[in-house]
Amino acid sequence: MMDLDNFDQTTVSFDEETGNLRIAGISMMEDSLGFYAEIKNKIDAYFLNHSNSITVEFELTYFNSSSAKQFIQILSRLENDKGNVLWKYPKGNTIMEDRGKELEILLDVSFEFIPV
Amino acid sequence: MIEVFQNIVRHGEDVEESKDCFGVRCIADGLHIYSSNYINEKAYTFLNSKLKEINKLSSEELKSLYMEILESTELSEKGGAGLGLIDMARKSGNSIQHNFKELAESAYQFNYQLDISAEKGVPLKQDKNIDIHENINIYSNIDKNILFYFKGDFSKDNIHSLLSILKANTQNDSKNDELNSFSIFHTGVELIQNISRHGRSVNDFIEGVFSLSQEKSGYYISTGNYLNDEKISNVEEYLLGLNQYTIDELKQVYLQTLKKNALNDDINAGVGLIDVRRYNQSLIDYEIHKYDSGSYLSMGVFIPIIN
Repeated sequence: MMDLDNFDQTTVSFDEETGNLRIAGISMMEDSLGFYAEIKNKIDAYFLNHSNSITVEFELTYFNSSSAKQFIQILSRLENDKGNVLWKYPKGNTIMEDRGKELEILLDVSFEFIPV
Repeated sequence: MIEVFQNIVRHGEDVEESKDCFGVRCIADGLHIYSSNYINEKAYTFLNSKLKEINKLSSEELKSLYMEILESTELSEKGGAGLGLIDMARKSGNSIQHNFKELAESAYQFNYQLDISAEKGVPLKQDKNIDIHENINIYSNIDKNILFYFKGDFSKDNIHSLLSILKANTQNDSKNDELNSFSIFHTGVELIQNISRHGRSVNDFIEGVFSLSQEKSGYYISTGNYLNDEKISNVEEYLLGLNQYTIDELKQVYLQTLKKNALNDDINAGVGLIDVRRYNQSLIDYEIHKYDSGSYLSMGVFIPIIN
């Protein structure tokens, strides 16, 4: 059973030392553009000052269509060997696994799929 | 609200032909809480006499009766000897509107309405009351398959409440629970957010309609909202085109659209309704009505439950 409670609980944390970005929970906010604007700016700033790559770890139980667009915009910043993705999904949840694979198709970024 | 709802649980009878319902209408200065449920002879006798008694009492007399019962040990099997009814009458400050319709021998449809002022501590003026027969008429004409119907503001708080209700009313224990739950929830999110993003806003109030119905082999979600005039031709053309894709084509359409739209800084991904179609494998039913007050879009989609 999907955990679809706590609709507002999207956790975004970015360690600007290590380049690890984590997006977890449920991503279905009304204003996804506004919500993810800050993290996109931080990634841009990180690449101005660092030559290291970024690892983005997703651990979501649900995301809506406007979040999918923001994920593409975030992850496209990692193209050209500037990062990779750890796509964690609830074990047995083929929908969340497939939705990650659809993002992978659209990006030139390495994805690792991890059931948790 | 809880007391009215619990009234159904306390006095209602669980019979197949029963058409129980619970509704809240917020109109101008008043909140009108309505319930209708099937009851037996015993409940009828109790409720009829209790409501007659309560409606004759002044606010001071209601308070005394409430305290008297509270201090006594008189408690019925199904509740607190009418304490809930008395409490509701005290809160309302008005008579409790009610109506018993005899259905068969020893069986009644019990209609009940509480009218409360939006202003705390002040009874709703009599001329602001809605006659219970108006609600009886509305609710008796609602399709029996409708589990939930909402008409109001599609603000963030209301959207979350709608999704909670959607989730609570569509629990299933099929082998494909994951897919079924996802399809229902995702369809709800995308259709509801479609209204909040594209619906016409008047004074920051985006009015729309959302309903959930139970069908033989699934659910049907429908929505309705006024459109901003400049969007009408686009919407019509878009929905017509979307319904022409085969299910096999929809994944590719999703990917191409998401990729193309990710290049712009618009909030919309433009893939919400594509998802609604592909996960449900259903067409999107729609109609656009042109009224003097504006153009109104009605949409609906069938969500099959896969066993």
